[in-house]
Amino acid sequence: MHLAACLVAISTACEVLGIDFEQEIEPILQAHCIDCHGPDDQESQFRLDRLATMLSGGNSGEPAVVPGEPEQSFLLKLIQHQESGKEMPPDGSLSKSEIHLIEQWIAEGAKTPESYGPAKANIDLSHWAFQPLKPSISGSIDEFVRDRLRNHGLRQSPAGDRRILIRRLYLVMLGIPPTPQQVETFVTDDRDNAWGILVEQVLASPHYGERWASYWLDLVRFGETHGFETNRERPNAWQYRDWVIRSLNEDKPYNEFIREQIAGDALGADVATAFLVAGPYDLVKGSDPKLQQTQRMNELDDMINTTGTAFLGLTTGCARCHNHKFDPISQRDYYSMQAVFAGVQHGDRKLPPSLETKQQIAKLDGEIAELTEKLKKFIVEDTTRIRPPVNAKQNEEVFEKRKARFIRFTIEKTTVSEGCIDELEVYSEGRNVALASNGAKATSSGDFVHPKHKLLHINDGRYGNDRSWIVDSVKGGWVQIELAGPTAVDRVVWGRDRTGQYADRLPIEYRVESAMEADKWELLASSADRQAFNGGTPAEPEYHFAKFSDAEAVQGEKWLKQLQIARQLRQEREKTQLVVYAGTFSQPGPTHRLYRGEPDAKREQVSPNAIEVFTSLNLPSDAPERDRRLALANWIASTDNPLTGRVIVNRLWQFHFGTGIVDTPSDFGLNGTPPSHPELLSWLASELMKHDWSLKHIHRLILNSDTWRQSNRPNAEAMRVDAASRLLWRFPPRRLEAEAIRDSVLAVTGVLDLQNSGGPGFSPFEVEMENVRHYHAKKAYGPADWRRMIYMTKVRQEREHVFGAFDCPDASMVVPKRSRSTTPLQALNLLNSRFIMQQADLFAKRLQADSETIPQQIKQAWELCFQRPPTAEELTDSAAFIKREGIQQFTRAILNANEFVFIP
Amino acid sequence: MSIESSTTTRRKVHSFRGKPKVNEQINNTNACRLQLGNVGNHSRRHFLQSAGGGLGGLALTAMLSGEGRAQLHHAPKARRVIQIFCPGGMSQVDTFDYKPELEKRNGTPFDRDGKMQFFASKPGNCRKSHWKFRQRGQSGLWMSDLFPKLAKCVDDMAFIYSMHSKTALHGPACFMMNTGFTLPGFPSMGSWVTYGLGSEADDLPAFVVLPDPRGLPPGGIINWGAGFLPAEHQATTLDTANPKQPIADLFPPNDGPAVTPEADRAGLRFLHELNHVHRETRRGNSELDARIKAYEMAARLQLSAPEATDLSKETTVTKQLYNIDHAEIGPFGRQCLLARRLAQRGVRFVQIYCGAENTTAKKIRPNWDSHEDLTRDHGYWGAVLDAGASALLKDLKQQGMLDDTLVICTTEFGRQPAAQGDAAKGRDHNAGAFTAWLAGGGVQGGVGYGATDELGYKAVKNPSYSYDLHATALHLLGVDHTRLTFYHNGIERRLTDVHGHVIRDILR
Repeated sequence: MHLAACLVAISTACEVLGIDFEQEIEPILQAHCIDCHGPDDQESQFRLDRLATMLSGGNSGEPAVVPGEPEQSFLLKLIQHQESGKEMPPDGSLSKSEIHLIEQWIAEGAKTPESYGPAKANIDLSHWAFQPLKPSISGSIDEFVRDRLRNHGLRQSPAGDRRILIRRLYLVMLGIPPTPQQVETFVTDDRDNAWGILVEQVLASPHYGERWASYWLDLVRFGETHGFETNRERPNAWQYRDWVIRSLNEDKPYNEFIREQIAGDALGADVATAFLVAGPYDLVKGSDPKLQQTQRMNELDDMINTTGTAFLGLTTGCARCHNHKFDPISQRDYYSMQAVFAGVQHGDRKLPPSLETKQQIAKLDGEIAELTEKLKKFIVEDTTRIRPPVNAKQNEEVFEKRKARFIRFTIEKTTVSEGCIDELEVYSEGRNVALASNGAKATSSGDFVHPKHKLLHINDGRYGNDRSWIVDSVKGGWVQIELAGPTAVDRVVWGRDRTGQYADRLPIEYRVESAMEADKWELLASSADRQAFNGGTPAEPEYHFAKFSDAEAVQGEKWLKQLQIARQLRQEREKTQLVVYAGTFSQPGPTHRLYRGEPDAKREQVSPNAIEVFTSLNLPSDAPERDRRLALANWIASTDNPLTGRVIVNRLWQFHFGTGIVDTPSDFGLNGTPPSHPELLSWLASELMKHDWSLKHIHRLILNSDTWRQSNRPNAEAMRVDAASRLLWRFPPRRLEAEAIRDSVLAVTGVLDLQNSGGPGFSPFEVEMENVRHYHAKKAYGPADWRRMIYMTKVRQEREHVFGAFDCPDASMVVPKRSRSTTPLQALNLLNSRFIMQQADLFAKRLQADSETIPQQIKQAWELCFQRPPTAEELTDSAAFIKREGIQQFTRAILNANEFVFIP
Repeated sequence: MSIESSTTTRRKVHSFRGKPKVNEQINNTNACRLQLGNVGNHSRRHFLQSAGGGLGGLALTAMLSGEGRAQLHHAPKARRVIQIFCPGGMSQVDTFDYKPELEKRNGTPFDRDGKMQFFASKPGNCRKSHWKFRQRGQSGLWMSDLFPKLAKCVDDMAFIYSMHSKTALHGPACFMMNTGFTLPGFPSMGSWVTYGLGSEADDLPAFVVLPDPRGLPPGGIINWGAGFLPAEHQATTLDTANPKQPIADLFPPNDGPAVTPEADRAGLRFLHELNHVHRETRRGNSELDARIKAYEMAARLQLSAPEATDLSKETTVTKQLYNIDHAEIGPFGRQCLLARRLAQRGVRFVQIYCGAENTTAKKIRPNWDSHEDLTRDHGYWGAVLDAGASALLKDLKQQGMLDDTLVICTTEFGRQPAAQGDAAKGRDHNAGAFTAWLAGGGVQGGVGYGATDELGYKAVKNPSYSYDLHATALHLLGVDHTRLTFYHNGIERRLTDVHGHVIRDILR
């Protein structure tokens, strides 16, 4: 009482006088806080000597001081020790009166002197990657590289010879070696611009897109299964892979390439939005709502993170639980971006038909209507099948009122697999007496075991696939409701999925029976008087021509024939409408910032937006879903964006030289490494924009440079200074990736199928179609497996048996740069796998078929694999080896040689 | 400004095996020396790793043999790890976590107001342990009759009663226990350990996984993936059912064109010559050298792997100890015996699975996921684990290996104290509580850590996530979990994310 009175006295005094910040508050902060949150140190990126950070708060994303609102001020919660684990100051506690003073100061508006700066800080954007691109730098790749070398007393290496260059060009750009004929043509081409011509040929090759698409697919974690526990397949995902290949081959401007992937549904490029949902997706959802929320947050995080790293080179995902520790990305920014994607759901989407298809369908519809009308007079009603066919959403069985204790629904036939029912309702005077909550009890002949589908769902009063039951047998299974007591019933209502999402497993032949005592069943209703199920389209009436005159009958039959043809054509047109795993879109509800990223710690509502320090999308919080994505896409793909251009040219550079100019390719923020050649990077980015975002233009610049055409041989002096060749005193040597090794093997053995490009992929696995998929390595390979590896179905979380060990990502995460390791398991796979043994055999047969003598066979092998003739020593050694061990052993060794798997 | 300075601070604190900084590498006339000077104690390993743009783990291991100790953060207690993973969710209240109150409330409603929702069901009544609990050994710790043999080892075991998980889904929970993250794609503990410590064997892989012969665990091979760590840290799986080919592609397939061992070796010699000629003009390319060594290592594996997996040389007593000929419990016994043999031969990390993936096809659950009939399924798997794990502990002790071999036994989450199903014979998933145990390698025997509530529903005293278990294991191996990092997509990643405390109470 005494203390309270005292406090009242203090507070009254303060209200009258007002808190003097410098006299009363600053000393407290100086004594307890400023060491860690001041000029010398800013723990949690928070400082109390700046008004702007007081207002915005530290890493937690919570505003520390909200003027006039002590209740909402995080600072108070911390000093009152209301946040466990974050008690401040950490070594003790402020006195009650000190806390009260601070509270009072906040309540009065948290006034600070001018020396505390403005309420909104000027964010320092001087970091090199945040600087606008200067359009007018002049130079060339070679000048920038040589400048830097000169500073280190180094010089570029001489150009590689033509055999080296053409091998390098084909492997880097196309992922397959040149044929001996291609090598010969180039080596003997005496035109001045022979190299330039070759570069253009390679850039025009359709195999360029097949090679470079794999880099993009790594980067966007593209997979053709869902991942997680069930790892079910995504049969409609491959279209995106083909879209990427096509876009690269067509040299689609990179800004368009970006825009279409984020908002292609608004730009006539629907397939491209598969980018958004290319990542893993957990099909297993628990019943626990918090678990479900977390799963949804993870899905959105995957989209935010992939968009940020792939296009912007920013680790946006780091701001999910707290403000970004290094970059100016706040937690609020993160949730603003979440609002951009909040309406995106995983799933297949039927793409809208093309204009041409639409017109064709409209024409056919007209024809069908006309013929149907003409044929009407031939219709004879079938009096036995009078009820409409079954449909997946809801069906009604009405019968004469009768007393029943048990109602049984027996499934005789379904559209596919075991039947599914989401709710079975039995009505008595308009009341559903089948509900468990009304005392009814459900039993069945057996239940399909699945966490989503349960017997208790049959009469729980809730609809939809997630609240449905599946019988455990394909034919003859039943579900039965025992009512609370004998009840007069007159109607049964049932459906597969009342929400209309699912239509599979639909019972189409069934009977509904009742009984007063067990096993004395009486039929109430059945499918017998329903029209035949026909996939949801209206039933075809039966036409009878017999009772008409011959002429009329002939005419009628002709019309019917025309009608059937028209219908079939229409169906075919509809089929050309693609279904793609490109996500579905719906208008989302409000998005909130989540304290510590926890779904149940909602803070203020946020509007869809990008990163505040860079831009504002100016969207209202209820902006239409598609507008959100389009606005974000437009900002990312704008010439004003300082990051987008730099990030992509750096990626191209990396795939040419093995290391990027920035060697943290998906982190251009403050924690990333600075560029080795900053001017070169900016110059390439501005070249990209000047040339309508053409990626091929950048390739052309790089490929025609002396830098790219240098020899890769070592040089002791340069090795001492720069062993990693970052300064590019030579073309840095490196091993090929898995795809290029596999494709090269198939190319030299002569079985590579280059014609079969695009379309559904081929699988490296035999799949055991369990509820949870099991993937086993294939045991035999044939021509269907000899397409390029980019067309191999990408199974998440699995590694292809032979080549997966060569650092192939498993599509769980975005991968901007593969690791490049060397392991004995790689050696074993490449030596002993069935795949390689078979290829070695095919290679031997090819050599024997093409060349008569052993020396000729050896020479051919060398030219196919290494693009050069063997030396005299190699020739004699090889001949001796073949004589001893046979040619299969020789081809097997050649396919394992270092020279075969390295870019020269 | 504030952003700049905190960056600097961070770099000062964590410098173990970070990404190479471009300026350190090239802004100096002698890049190598600067790196060695700059990175501190762990520089040699780091330098070897980054010189020449990524040297294979194999060459690295060979170069570092004999100096492994120097890289540790502190003196280790354990040199290697054998981890047993029981997928499906082992019930804590039927095994290690004794709850007399649950026994008292047996048959009474668990959730009085009916508001709770478990993973797949509404709670049934409280269900006491399906097996009787007794106090065991000198320590007097409680264990149920499900594990009569393991109960005799209780004084060598330390129990963490307060384990919990972030998810009640099998796949993500297995990922969390193995990698510290519920999402797929992060490196597993075994990968982190070999990344940090390398191998002790030069003719066997550093990280070996022995899956259950019945199949892979939920989530599959990614449970032992290397994630973003270089592929050399990926586990090698040994197929013990196939003694001729224990490692995939160890030898050419025997149904193809016959390749005699002599021809095989002649082929390798020829390849070696090709590669040596090629290398002559390309000196200093460590990737080429590493690849040459990889083929030498592959040849050594062809000798060492069949030898290591050949159990026939073990004594009859040992074979009986592991019950290796028993139809049901024999397969797991063999895996445990093999784990001991691998550990003996210098393999750093062996993970054994006791249970496979869920499937709807089998009559008995293929793992510990006992929704319908816990007596049946835990009964089966309990006997399997009891025989194998107890034999392993005894054998390691007899061989004098238990002192420096850390044995860990975990599951991905626990089960509910309430019954599930119409017959009330099962239990649903419980992310809130489970028990893990450790033995050997610097762990105190006969101790318990943490506790669940009176019914065993939720960890209440010292709740511990995988982070704490992983931090403790790394600590025993001489590694500070906060300093074992790898740069990936803008973040210095750790096995323990930004969490984890060493559980010192169970250390010797």
